[in-house]
Amino acid sequence: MKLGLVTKIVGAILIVFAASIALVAVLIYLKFDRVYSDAYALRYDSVARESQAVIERSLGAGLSLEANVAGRVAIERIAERHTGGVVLALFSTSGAPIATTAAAPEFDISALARAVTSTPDALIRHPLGTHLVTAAAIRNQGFPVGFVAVFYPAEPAERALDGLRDRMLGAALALGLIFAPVLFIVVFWIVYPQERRFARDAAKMRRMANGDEADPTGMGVLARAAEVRKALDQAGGTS
Amino acid sequence: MKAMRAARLWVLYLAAPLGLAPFILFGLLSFWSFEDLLIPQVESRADIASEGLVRQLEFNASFFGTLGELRDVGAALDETRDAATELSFIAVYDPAGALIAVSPADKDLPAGIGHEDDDEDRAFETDPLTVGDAPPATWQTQLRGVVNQAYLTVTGEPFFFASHSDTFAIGRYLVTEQAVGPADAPLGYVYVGTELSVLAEVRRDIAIETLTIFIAALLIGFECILLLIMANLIRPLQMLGFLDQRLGARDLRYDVDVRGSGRLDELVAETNRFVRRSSERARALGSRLFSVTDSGAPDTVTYPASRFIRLPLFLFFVGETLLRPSLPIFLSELSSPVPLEGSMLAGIAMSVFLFTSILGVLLGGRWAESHGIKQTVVIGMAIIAIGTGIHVFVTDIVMASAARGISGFGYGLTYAASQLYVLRHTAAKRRTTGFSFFFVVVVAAEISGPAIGGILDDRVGATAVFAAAAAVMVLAVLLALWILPSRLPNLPDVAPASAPQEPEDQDDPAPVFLRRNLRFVTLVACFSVPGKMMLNGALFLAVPLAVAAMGQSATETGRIIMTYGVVILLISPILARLADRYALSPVYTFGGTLIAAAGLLLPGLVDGLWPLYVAVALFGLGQAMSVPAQMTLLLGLTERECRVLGAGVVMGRYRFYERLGSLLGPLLVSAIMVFASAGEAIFILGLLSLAAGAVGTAYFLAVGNRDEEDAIDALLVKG
Repeated sequence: MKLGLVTKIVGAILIVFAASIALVAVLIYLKFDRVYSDAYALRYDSVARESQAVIERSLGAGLSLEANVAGRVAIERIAERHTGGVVLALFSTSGAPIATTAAAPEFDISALARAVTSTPDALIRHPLGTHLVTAAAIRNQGFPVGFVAVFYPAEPAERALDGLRDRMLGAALALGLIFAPVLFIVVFWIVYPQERRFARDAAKMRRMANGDEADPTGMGVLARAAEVRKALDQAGGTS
Repeated sequence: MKAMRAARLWVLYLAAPLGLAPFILFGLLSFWSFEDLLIPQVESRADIASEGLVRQLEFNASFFGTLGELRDVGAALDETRDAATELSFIAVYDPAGALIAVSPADKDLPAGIGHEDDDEDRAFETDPLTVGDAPPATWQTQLRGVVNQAYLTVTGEPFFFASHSDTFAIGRYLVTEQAVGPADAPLGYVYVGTELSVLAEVRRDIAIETLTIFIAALLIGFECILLLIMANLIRPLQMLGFLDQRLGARDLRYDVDVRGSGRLDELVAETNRFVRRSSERARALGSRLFSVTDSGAPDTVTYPASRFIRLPLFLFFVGETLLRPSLPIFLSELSSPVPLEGSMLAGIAMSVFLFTSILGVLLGGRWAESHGIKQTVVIGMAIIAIGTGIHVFVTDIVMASAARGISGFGYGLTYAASQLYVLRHTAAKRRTTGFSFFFVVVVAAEISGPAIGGILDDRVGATAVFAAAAAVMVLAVLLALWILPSRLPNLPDVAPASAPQEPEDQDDPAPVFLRRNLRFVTLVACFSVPGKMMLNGALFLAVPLAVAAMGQSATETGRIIMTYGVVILLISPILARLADRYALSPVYTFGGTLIAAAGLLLPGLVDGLWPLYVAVALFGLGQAMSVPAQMTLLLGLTERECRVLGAGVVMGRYRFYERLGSLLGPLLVSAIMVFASAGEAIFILGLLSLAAGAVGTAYFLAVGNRDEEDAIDALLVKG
């Protein structure tokens, strides 16, 4: 199938335009997703830090984490302040549950326990499907004796990001629909006259190559060809 | 008619920014929409942090009656701030507006916090944008209004969600207020302040990253459109120009190789037919007015297509640079049969890449000369695509090193063969322009690849990045197979360096033969090696360390390094054209190296971040001048070697020595940093390169850039 210059250039520019908008949209969305998820999780980092500080202070009496009632009370009190499915739970270093404010989401706790106890000064964030968890080690004299985990729903963040994605998609589509015809018209207006000119000149050159009448008006090469033709005619005395 | 053409030209000029408009609009709308989501998160963070404090104060106040009678309020505030380190201050006021406690204790609070008596009206002036009053009408608010209305009409939902509540901008803080006790008779208020600059920093970072994504997408789009216009418009027009010129000279010995199917290609094909028929007639007539071949059939000329390699090469480099953000961490976390530090493991695997790429560069030029340039480019790209694909299945450092090794070899082959392609498809008088586009493509990929790779790595992981990079490289292979011409161009003034010939008067191996050319040695030692030393030692190693030493973020480092790329992208094409027009290659090589080296002296002389920006910009300017011009100068200095060994071998050898500079730069910086700071290391490296550049310039000024023997030969032959 023969494609004209207009079809090729207009088609390709529109494809490149659409692909570029799509690439930009996907990359920006991924970037926003990352920043927003971080900001969302950061809200609960302070809850984990607060629980960690309160429970660590209560360990001074020499009781183990398992036997320490203050730790359980602390997580109960902190959990009361948060609605929307926030669950606090206390675990031993091996991941055995000590106390929980509500039913925590089920998952393989051992990997989280390993991560928390190997870096007791850091907060560990972990995705759990419908929930996210931020865990902080409970340290007694510098050594981890367990950890507190704050479980919070991923759904609000997902909902917000879904909304953002829909709006970005809508904006990309709308801008595409507005600008694509404009681009088409501009490119067509510029390229189509050239395309016609090339077609006209190709027809003139075809006639000259066939030995028909020479018409030198058009691109420079036609005039040059007409001169050659004239010179040949003069040299041969005939066309 | 003329007016119409002028109008079309103006429309074209206006259409160019119009093409950017949807991208800019999309960026603004997305960014604002995202900001509307992010600010409530910051507010909510402050609310959550202060919630516990408020409950504690309420509980304690229930025993004492008022907040003013409580003890150790300051300690409770400190504890809350310890748990939420992003907060700038927490203050507690009584209902009369008297300060009870503040954390940190020495905090100079902004004027206006607190209530006057029980009056509900706040005592401070607030920023209207965040309080919820009607914001002042600016183009942004008007645009937001129009978009909101349009989106509401179509979807029934607003596009922007303005949900700022209970939060006020006071001075440089975003302040959240919470009442302690019952709302109708509060015991006091807790105010939590977050630095607005933190939010502004987040905004700035996201805006810059968004801009980087735009630049990356636009560069890719630009390359695609450029290829399309080159193939369908510029190249056929150039062919037509060639035929026009030959017809004007009554020269009927040439027609051109045309394969397209557009109207312009049709015109070229008809002109070919006219030339063939005219040639037959001229031969039959025996006219001396026309030049014809002995057979009467014109020789078919393959026209150069230097820019056809731009897009495949750009995709190839993008594929390679996509891996940059993921590789170090990925490699350092792999298991190893030998117990080694993670950074050491990453270093080993990356060194394998460097080593095999040097090998590839050495062999690439030779293979391209003997087996064909297109074949070598395609095979090189296919090898690196396979090597990158293997990364997806890597489980340990041995396998990773093998994958890096395969990739490195493919990279070297492609690099060397692509350079030869550019050389063969560029007229001698436009060589610097040809090599400058090669350089610009590398730099453009350096900007786009890591930006995209970093985002993909963040959200979809390193394995997906490897798969994406391999896919991009496969695309580059297919594109190279499809569009690169197999035949070499054979225009009379193109392809100056001939295919390798048997040496007539030398038996030395290539390295020895080249080393005898002192000008070649000087070019390598004084300009090429220092250039790479500065790039890899100063820019890629010492600058990030200097930025970190100033307490700045990695994002700042990224911006400084990006300055280098942007300067090159903007000025390299213009500088290269000037170099070709006025034969400035030697001046550019010498001057560029001296400017780049002198720029690096700045961070050692002036403290601060801006000297680094200026130094990197000057370095970019120097490299933009020197790097493409070096290749033109090299080919001028080694005409004899190119004739004997082949240009591919000479360029391969040159790149080999250059890569030794790449190795030497980081080693030298590491050694200097044993006794000096990163800024001082940049200064010392700049000083060494300046000295090398000065020695090289002095040498060339003294002996000239052409061998006396060759010059005499040329004169005699000419005479």
